[in-house]
Amino acid sequence: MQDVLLGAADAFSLGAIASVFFGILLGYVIGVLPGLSRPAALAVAVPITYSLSPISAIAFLVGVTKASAAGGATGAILLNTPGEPSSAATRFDGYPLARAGRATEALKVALYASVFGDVVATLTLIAVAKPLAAFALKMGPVEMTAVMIFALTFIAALSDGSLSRGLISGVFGIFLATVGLDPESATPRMTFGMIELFDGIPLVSATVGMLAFSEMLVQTEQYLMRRKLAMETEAVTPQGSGHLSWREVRRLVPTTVQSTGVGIAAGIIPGLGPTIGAFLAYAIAKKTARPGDRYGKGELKGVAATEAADNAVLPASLIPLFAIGLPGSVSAAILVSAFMLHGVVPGPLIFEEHPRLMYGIYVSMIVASFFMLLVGRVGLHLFAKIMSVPLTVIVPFVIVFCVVGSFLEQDTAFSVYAMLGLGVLGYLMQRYGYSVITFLIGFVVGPIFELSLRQALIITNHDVTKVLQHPIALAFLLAALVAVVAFLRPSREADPQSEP
Amino acid sequence: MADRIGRGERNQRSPKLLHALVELAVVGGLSLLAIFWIIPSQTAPASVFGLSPSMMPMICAAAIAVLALLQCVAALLRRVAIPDADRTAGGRPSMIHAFLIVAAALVGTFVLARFGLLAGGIVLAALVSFSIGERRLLHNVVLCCAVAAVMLLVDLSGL
Repeated sequence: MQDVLLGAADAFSLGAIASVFFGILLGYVIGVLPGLSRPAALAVAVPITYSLSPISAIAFLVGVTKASAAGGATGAILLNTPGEPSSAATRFDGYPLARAGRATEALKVALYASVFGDVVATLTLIAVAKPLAAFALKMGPVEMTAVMIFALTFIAALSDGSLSRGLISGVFGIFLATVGLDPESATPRMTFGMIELFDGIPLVSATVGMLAFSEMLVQTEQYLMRRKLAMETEAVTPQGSGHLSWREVRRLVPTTVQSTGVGIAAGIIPGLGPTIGAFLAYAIAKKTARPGDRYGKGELKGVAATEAADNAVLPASLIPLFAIGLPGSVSAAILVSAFMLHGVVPGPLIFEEHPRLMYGIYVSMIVASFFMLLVGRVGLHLFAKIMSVPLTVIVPFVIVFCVVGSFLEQDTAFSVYAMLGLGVLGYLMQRYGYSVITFLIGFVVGPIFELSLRQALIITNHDVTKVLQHPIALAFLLAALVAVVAFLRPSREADPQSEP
Repeated sequence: MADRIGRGERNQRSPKLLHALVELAVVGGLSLLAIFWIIPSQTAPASVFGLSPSMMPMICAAAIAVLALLQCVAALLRRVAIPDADRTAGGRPSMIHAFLIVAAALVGTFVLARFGLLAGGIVLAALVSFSIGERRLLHNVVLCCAVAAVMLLVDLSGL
């Protein structure tokens, strides 16, 4: 109880409150801007937290993540261009509603559904993470290795492109994570004589380069292509109060609750993430439509479904991170780097080693939900104006932040060169259909995976058949195998245009 | 008719075959390079009892080589290749602007390391803006002023 109160006191300190507020504000701006995705912005925001206390830093980043998920709906509704890929499904009903003169109504529904999904998922995180962590502590290295193999396989299977390319990306991430000193003998590995590499490739450089810098390269390409093809979408300006009647609210509640559940499930299962969660929620809502529902032609339920699911994913994706140290999404993987920057290693021991910080984070997450509602409601029409910021302003600014942020991490140009190298690698990977997300998750779990694998090999005396004596590990390995078989089915691999 | 279909399939298969083989050569070749040269030459054997330091990198490189082979076989067995992520209606965009931005970032980093945040930030912003095709003088001046203000803020905040 003492830890809960101390954590709450930390979360209600002026610094932490201000961090959450500015995080929410920044998150909304990022979410609204079509050229900047949530993971990219989060990666750029990590260096801003260098001088903050751990609670303020995490609170700030949580604020950025939560609000960018909510802000992504603005572009989807008004411009038919989602600020975030996870808001793409919001376009289906949001843009037709805006064209029909109900833009303010759609924006309000998106905001309220976002906050609802976020609050329920945060409460689920608070209720579930600690008991799960206690259970995870009973698992040995053999089980942990199997869980990580399962998670990486599942994430690779759900990534864009083919399963083998996804797996190559994940394994390549683990490979690059081995650069540095060997955890057992402290022997340098693949450092090419560079002392800077003895601690491994800097995590911040990897996340900033792979997500933010590479995305700016991709966005520039797309911007130039659009300019060449002169592709423009007609923007709609929100007008009027868009009052929601009590009857309308009651009609939206079941869909919002159902979609929040879908979002929580998508957050807990590694690899699904907010985009799949939102599309899945929309598909289920459409399947369970009632007579009179106009999905695809301008239905408020469609907006509520996608936004509730999208915002429920992040808090839920922190459940596997806090319970077993496994980031289930790319945003969670970036949060790992923020935790590690402040000397905290996420995992089952976090509740025993840093209970005060954990309760502080929980309280900050609830505070962030409140600010999300407040800032979102006050700035409903204002954020719509930010959409007009051109990419020719966003790209230089983000690249300056990428370079300066990486430079400030170690005060040397080495971090920047590492960031640029990984940025180019990420750009080439995206260009040729290799998943950057799977790479990054492999890179983040790499050290834990190696440690677990080494311990597992020692425990089993290098005898693979001894896995049979570990039923939980066996179950996860079988699940990984099932995932591989299921995702290798011809229906996924075949081109839709090819003959049956 | 059947002959025309056969020719069409052959035309479609040729670039697919080449694409799959090039991918195998690059990814598989790099993994073999890691297995036979990079890892052995860059990892000293541990003098203490325990598992070899090169175990994990070797496992990863071998796994990548096997997966690259599987990817090649799967690509050849598929009727049509899975499209790459960014292939658009207008064709694959040129990489020239991406490499211009990288070059701008390298110059900016050099200036940043030599002359500090303010000069580095301004030079970087201006070069990136130019490399994405922005030539309006007023736009670039305002952008550089805004970046300068942010850099001063970063400097003053003690980050």
